[in-house]
Amino acid sequence: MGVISALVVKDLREIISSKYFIASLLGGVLLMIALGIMLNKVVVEVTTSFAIVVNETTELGMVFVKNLQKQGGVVYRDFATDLLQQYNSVVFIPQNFSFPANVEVWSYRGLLSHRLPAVERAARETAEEVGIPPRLIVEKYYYIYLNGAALTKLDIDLVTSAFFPVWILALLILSMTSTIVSASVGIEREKKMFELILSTPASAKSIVVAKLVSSTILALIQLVALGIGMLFLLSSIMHPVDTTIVDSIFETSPEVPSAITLSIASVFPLSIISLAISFLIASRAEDVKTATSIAPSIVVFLMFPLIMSFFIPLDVMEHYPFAHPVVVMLYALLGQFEKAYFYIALDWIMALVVLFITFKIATPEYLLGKFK
Amino acid sequence: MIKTSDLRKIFKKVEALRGVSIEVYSGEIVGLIGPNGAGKTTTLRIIAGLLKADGGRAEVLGVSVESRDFARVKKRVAYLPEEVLPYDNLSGREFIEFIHGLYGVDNVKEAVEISNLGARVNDKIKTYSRGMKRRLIFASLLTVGAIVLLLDEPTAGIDVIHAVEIRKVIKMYTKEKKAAVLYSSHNMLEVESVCNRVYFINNGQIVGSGEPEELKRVYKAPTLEEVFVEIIRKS
Repeated sequence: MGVISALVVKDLREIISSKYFIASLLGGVLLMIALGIMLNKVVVEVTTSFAIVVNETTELGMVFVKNLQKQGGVVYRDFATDLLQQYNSVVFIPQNFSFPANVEVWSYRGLLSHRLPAVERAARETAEEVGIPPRLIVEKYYYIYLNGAALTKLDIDLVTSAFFPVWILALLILSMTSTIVSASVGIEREKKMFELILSTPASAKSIVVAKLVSSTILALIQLVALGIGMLFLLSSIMHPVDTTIVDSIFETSPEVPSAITLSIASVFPLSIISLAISFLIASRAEDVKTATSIAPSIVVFLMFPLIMSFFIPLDVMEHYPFAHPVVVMLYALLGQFEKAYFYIALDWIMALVVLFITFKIATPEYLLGKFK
Repeated sequence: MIKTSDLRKIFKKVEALRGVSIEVYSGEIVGLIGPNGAGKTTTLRIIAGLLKADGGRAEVLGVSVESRDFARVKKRVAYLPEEVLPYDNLSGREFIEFIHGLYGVDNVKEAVEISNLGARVNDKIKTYSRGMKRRLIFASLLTVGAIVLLLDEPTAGIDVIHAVEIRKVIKMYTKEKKAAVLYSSHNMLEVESVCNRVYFINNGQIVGSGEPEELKRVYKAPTLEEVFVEIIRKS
C-alpha cells in the first residue's frame, strides 16, 4: 500500500505542480463559466419565449392558459406562421381541454431542443389548483417547424441519421488530433529534442507544419480503423434512412451524402484550429504527461458547444465555430447551400488566421521554453 | 569561423552573459570551460541561433546568427546539446536517418561506424544505455557535413573507453574537415587533452583564455583546474 500511495502521490504531484496544468484548469473553468452564461441566456429565451394559441376552450383550459402565461407565454387567438418566427414555440390549446389533455407544441428551431418545460410546469400548477393528482395530465405532442414547414417523422429520422455520424466524426477528429499532437510535442519537450532540431536547418515553422501534418495522418489512420468498426456498429443498431422521401421539407433529402461531405469540409479547418491550439499549449508543458493532460482538456472545453448543439437552437450555435459541422449539415439539408458554403469558408479563414498566429507565436524561444 | 563580441543575455533579472567575446578559427578545437551555471550552454545556444542575445553580436561563418542568411549557414553547423535524448521508439538507424534527413544528407554507414553500436543500431533506442544514446546522437551529428561543431558536454554519460574514442574522432574530424569546434565542458582534464585553446567562463564573463600549456606555464599550475582556481582567486 505504501508503494502504491507513493507512486500515486508522485504522479499527482508531477502533474498538479505544473503551472500549465493549473492554468488549464483555470482556463477551462473560466471558459465553462462564459459558456454557461451564454447558454443560460439562450435556454431562458427558448423556454420562456412562446405563444399560446387559444380560440375557445373549457374553464380548465383557461386555468391552464393562465398558468402558461405565468411561465412567459403570450396569448393569440389564431395561428399564423409568423408566430413561429417571433417565438421559439407555439402551444395549441384544444377546445375540449380536460385532463388528460392533448396539447400540441410547435417549435421552429432546435432539433432535440423542442421540449418546452413551461407546459409541464403549467399543467402541474393547474392540477394543484383544481385538486387533481399531478400525473399524466397533459399529453404533449411536439412538432418541429423548420424552413416554413413541419418536420415529418421521416424528416426527423433523416436529420438524426445524418447528424449523428457528423457529430461523432467531428468530436472524434477534434479530440484525436488534439491528443496526438499533444503527445508528440510532449515527447519532444521531454527529450529536449526541440533544442537539437531547431539548431539544424529545420525552422520553427517547419516543426509546426510537420507536427500538424503527422498528427492529422495518424488521426486519419485511427479514424479509418474506427470507421470500419463504427460501420458494423451502426449497421447493427440503426435502420437505413429512406433517401427518397417524397413528403419532406428537405429539398436535398436524396443528397444526404453530399451534405455529410460539406459538413466534413467544415470539420477539417476546425481540426486545424484544434491542432494549432493543442500544439501551442503542449509546447509549454514540461513533459508528455503534462502535455497530454492539459491540451486535450482545453480542446474538449472548446468542443462543448458542439455537444450542446443537439439541445439548443442551431441558429444561436451558428455563431460559434466549433458547432459549424452540424450547422453546415442543417443548411445543406435545407438546400441553403450559400449559407453552408459561407460557414465552411469562414472556418477555413479562421483556420488560416489561427495558423498564422501559431507561426508567429511558435518561435524557437517559445518552443524551447525557459532555459532558466 | 565562430565569433562573438560582447554577448549579453538576461533571464528575468539574472545576467547570464555579461559581455562574452570568443573566436574559433578553422581547424581548431576551442574549449569553453567553467563551472555549472557559468554561461557555457547559453553561449552555445546563442551561437546555434536558438536564443536571441540581449546585446552584442554572434557570427558563424561570417553571418550574424540573427540574420535571415543564418538559415542557410545552419546546414554547415551541428550543435550537440547537453541534455538531449533520442526517441525511445525509433531504432538507432532510424534516428540517424531522421537527423540526416534534417540536413538533407545520407551518410548512415559512417554514422553507424562512429557510433560503435554495431548490430545494435537496428534495435530500439529504449534498449540502449545512456552512453549508447549519447554516442548515437554524437555520431548522427558528426556525419551531416558540418564544418562548425558546437559540442556541449559531448562525453557526458559515456564510459572512459568510448569517451577517449570520441575525443579521437573529434580531433580527426577537425583536422580533416578543417572544422571549427567549440567544446563546452566543466571537465577541465578532458578539455586539456582535446582543445587547442580554452576560454574560462565564470558568472557570465570570460575570465581568462589561451593555450592550455601556455596557461599552465603562466600561472605556474600543473593542471587547467588549478589555473582556473588561480584566475578566479585573482579576479
